[in-house]
Amino acid sequence: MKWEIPAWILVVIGIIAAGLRFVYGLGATTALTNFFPWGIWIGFDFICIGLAAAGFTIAAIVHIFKLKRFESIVRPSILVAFIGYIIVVFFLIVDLGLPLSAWHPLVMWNPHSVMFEITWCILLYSSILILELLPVLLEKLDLKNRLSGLLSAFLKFCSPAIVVTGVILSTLHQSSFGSLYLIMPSKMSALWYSNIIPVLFYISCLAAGLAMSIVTQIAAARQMGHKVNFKLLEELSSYIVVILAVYGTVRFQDLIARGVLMTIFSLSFQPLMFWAEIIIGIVIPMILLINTTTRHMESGVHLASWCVLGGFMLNRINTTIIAFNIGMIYIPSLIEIAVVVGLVAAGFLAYSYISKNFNIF
Amino acid sequence: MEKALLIDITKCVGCGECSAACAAAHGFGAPTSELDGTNYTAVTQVGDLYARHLCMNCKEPTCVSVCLVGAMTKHENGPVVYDFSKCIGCRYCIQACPFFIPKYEWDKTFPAVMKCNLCYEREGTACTDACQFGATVYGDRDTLIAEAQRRVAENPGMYVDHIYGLKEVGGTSVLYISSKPFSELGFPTNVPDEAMPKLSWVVVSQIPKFAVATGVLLFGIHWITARRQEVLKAEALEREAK
Repeated sequence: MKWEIPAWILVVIGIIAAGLRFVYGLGATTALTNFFPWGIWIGFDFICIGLAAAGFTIAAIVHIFKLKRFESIVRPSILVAFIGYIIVVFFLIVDLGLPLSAWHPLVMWNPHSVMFEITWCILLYSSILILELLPVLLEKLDLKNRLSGLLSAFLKFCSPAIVVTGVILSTLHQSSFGSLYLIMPSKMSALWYSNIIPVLFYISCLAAGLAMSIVTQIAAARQMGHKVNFKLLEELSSYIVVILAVYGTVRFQDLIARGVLMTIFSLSFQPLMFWAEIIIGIVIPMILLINTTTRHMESGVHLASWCVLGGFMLNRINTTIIAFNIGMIYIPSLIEIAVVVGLVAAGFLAYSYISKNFNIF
Repeated sequence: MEKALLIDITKCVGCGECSAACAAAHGFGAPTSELDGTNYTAVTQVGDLYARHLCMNCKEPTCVSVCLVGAMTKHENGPVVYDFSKCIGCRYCIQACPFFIPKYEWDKTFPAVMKCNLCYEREGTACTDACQFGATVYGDRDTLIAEAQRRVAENPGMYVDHIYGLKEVGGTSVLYISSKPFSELGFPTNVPDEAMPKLSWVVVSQIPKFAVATGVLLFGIHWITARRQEVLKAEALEREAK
C-alpha cells in the first residue's frame, strides 16, 4: 500500500525523536516549562482516550442494548480502542519524568488523586480490551485443543460481565480526564473550567467515539475495496446528532449558569478557539446530519464525523493548553510533534496490519 | 503545634541573604531571582518593595491531594515534603499548584520536583536564621497570626488590611503582610478561600457509589434486553409448533 511507506518513515522519525528525549532529557528536547509542565503529549493522551470511546460505546450498543445489527462494527471499534490505549501508554513512557517508576501507582496509593483513579481505570480497562479481543486471537490461532475451546466458552459466558465492567471503567475515566482540572479554577479560563467538566468530557467522548467508528468503517471499506454498510453508519450518525444536541445544550447552559456567557463574544484568542471548537464540533456536523439531503449521503455523514472528531480534538487541546492563563505561550517543540506524528502513524499501521491479518471485519 | 513563617514585606531590604542561606542549606549554587529547580526562594523587586516567594506549605495542599503515589506529604507541624523515591514524574503537582511553586529539574535524566520544605529536618529555617531585619520570622502559626494582626492594627497607614495566607486556599504555613496590595506584588489573588482538594474530592469520593449504580443499571438493561430476545425466540417456536 502506498501510504504505508511514508507512515513507516514517520514512525522511524518518531522513534528517533523519542530516543533524543531519553538521551538529552525533557528540558532540552521539549518546550515544556515550569509554567507549562503538561504539553501536547498529555493533550494527545486525552484525544486518544476520547477516540477510544468507540470501543465501549459500540460494545454497549450491541451487547447491552442488544442492537444486534451493529455486531459487525464491534470488533473494529474495540480494536480502535485497544490501539488508542496502547498509544497512550507510549505517550506516558516518553512524557513521564521517571518512566522506570511507572509501576509505583500499583503499590503506592492516594485515592484522593483523580490521576490515581484514572491510572487504575486505564490499567483495568486495557485488560478488559484484551479480554474482548482474545476471541479474535483464539480464532486466528485455531488451536483446536481443549484448553482454547474452554477459554473461548468461558469468555463467551463472561461476555456480559466483561462488557459491563468495560462500560463502567470507561465512564469513570473518560469523565475523570475532565475531573483532573477541577482543582485548577484559578489558573484556567472560565470558558473551559467548570465544576461539571467531568460531565462535559463524558458526553463529548460518546459523540467522538461514535464518529471514530464511522470514520474507521469508511476507511477500512475503502482500503479493502468492499462496500460500506451505510445504513448502519447512518443510524450511528443519528445517535451523534442527539448526543451533540445534549452536549451543546449542557455546554451553553453551563456557561450561562456560571455567568460567563458574554465572554465568548470578546475578541481575543481564547473565545476564538472556543468558537472554532463549537462551530467545527457541534454546528457543522449538526447541520450536515439534520439536513435531509446530506444526512443520507455517505460523504455528508463522513464529513460530519470528521468535524465531530476535529471539534473534539480542539476541545481537548483547548482544555489542556489554551485554557491556561499563565501569561506565557507554549508552542510544542519539533521533537514533541515528531513523537505525536510517529505514534499516530504507528497506530494506523497497527490497525491496518491487524485488520488485514485477523478476523476483524 | 503548627509552625509557620511570617514575612513582613515592609521590613525586607532585598539583601538576598535568605536566598543565599537557603541555597547553602540545600546545596544549590548561587540563587537566581526566580524560583527554579535549584532555587527554593527568590526575592523580586516590585517598585520600592521586595517580595520573597517560596512554597506556601498550604494547610490542605493541592500537591498532596493530586499526587497519585503520595510523594507529597503534609507534616503535622507545617512543612509539605516531597519524596523523590515515590515520584513518577507526572508533574500534576506542578500543573495544579495555585501558587506556581513546584519546579522541575528539566535538565536532568532522572528529574525531581523541587520546592521549599520549610527545612523540616531541623528546628527553624535557614532563611529565617539569615534574615537580620526581622522580615521573616519563624514560630507557631497562631502566634504569628496574632503578631501579624497586631502589626496591621497598630499601623493602619503602613499595611494593607490583608494577611496573605491566613484564608487563601484554606490557610497556609507561610504568611505575608505588606504595604501594597498583594495583586501588585505578583501573588495570585484569584485563589479561592476554600481548600482546593475539596473541589475534586466531591467527585472522586462518589466513584464507588457511582460504579455500583452504573453496574446495576447496565446489568438491569442487559437482563431486560436478553429476556426480550428469549421471549421473541419462544414465541417464534410456539408459532412454528402451531
